[in-house]
Amino acid sequence: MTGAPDDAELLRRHLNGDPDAFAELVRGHRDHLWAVAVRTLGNPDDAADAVQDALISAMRHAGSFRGDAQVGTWLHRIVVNACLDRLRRRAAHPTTSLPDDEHAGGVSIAPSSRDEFDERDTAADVHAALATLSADQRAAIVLVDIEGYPVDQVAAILEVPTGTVKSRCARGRAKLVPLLAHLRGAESGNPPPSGGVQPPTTAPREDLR
Amino acid sequence: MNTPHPELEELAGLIDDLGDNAGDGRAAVGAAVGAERADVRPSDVEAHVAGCARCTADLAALRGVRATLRALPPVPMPDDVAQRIETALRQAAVTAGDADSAAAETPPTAAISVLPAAGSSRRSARRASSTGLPNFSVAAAVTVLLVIALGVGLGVALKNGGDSNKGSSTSGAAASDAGSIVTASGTDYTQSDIQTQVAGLLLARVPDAHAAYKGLAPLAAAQSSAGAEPSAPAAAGSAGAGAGAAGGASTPKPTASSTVESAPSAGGAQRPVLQSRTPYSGPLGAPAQLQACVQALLDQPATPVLVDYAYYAGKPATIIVLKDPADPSTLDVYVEADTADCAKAGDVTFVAFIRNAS
Repeated sequence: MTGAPDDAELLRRHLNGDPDAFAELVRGHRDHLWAVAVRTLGNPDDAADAVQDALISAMRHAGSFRGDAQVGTWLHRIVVNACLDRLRRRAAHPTTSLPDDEHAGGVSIAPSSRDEFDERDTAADVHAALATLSADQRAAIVLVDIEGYPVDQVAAILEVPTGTVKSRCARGRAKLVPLLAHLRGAESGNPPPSGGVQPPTTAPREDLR
Repeated sequence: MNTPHPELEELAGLIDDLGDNAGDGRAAVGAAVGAERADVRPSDVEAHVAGCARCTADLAALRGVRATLRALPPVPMPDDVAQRIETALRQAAVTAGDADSAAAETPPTAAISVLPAAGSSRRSARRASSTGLPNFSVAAAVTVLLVIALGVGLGVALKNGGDSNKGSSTSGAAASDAGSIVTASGTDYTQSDIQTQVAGLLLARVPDAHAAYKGLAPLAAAQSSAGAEPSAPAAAGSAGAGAGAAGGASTPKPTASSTVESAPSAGGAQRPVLQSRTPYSGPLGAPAQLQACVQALLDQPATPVLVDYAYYAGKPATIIVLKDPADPSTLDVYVEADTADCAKAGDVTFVAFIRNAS
């Protein structure tokens, strides 16, 4: 992963007129931004629109980026805000279908690797379940529990106190329990003695820089 | 212990700190609960959970949910999306070195009616007094007042200024309440499109312009033929609040006109982007000159919202955006040709307003 200086340097180059710098900056973050967007919105088409709009906006506003935040955090913030805007707009105009079911199992969300069926089913179930959460809860769950960002970074992205992030996650998880219990039936049905469930992947996917 | 069963939500909060290492997370449970639920001491909940089959099961279920979430496979951005976004960014970078040219490619959405300048008090007086603008084909516009039916009030006045200085950040025109954005966008403003052009630049460069000047939004909506959501700039705007003052780090983009994205039927809206000037160049380059000019325009000192050392109708000019002293929600945009002498004569080439729609 690229270090912070690289991001800062790319941003500087962009501000100095290098026409490629911003695209390069984005390249280092795009998979993370995409994951957040597509999981928050549950729909690749919306996610693509949201990410594109957000990044163009970010590029245009790069001059007002304050150095007190990480570039990655800043980019995430803009993308997440764009996604939340869309979710709220969707909520305000329910005629727009919630495409979670339709897309959750689709190519863009589900992996093309092995265990594809299980994973795909799981991804579809999870995305359907996420759709039942409020926009704020969904964003928090996606960032903290799915993408594995530390709570304080998520707080910076969402511009809320860490306690708020935690409570959103907590409420979201509580709602998800009955919806996802079947996926890990063994664990939820049989509480392990003391050690608890060891999740398969423990490390956060990657820290923001 | 007789503590009540914690709510599922409360238990759910515990696993933040338990993380994935539930086994050694007991202490963390206490800390988390202590932080979030003052009325129950950590040890109480800890003890309760430890000794309560139901809560232990709940906690396990919550961990299961979290593990399920964490185990989702990564979703890399699909190539087609990555390509599309990269292309969009490049186009935006080319056409909008500073987002101002993004405005340049914007079809004018507002119906613009050109009225005799009589309308506006001081400005019209100055405008009337302005004499030679030989270089401007728009010279006729000297006494033209553009009134746009849309949002913000943008008044545009053409003039000229002093000479060049350098500087890279704000301050051009005076002490700042909010600070000015000083830039050299390279935009070639035109009479018909200046409102849109200025709106685009403002939205891109002035923090919270979106909220402060509601009339910009309609213009901006039209601005991106690429279909950017109006809300996106707002999001970014809030993200990047503050600091706009340093706009002087202009993006020199000697963009060849051929690279400008073609806006379908934008017609005259699209203009080649001329070579960028340096901030603080031209007759109004010196902050003092700029201040004097503003003073002359408004009969009072003011901090411009934005100053763009750019072009008007292909000629070097300084674009000065000022809040209308009489109506803060209205922006007046003055264009001072480099051949004019704003501070001395106060002569304005023309003024256009974009009035607040509401």
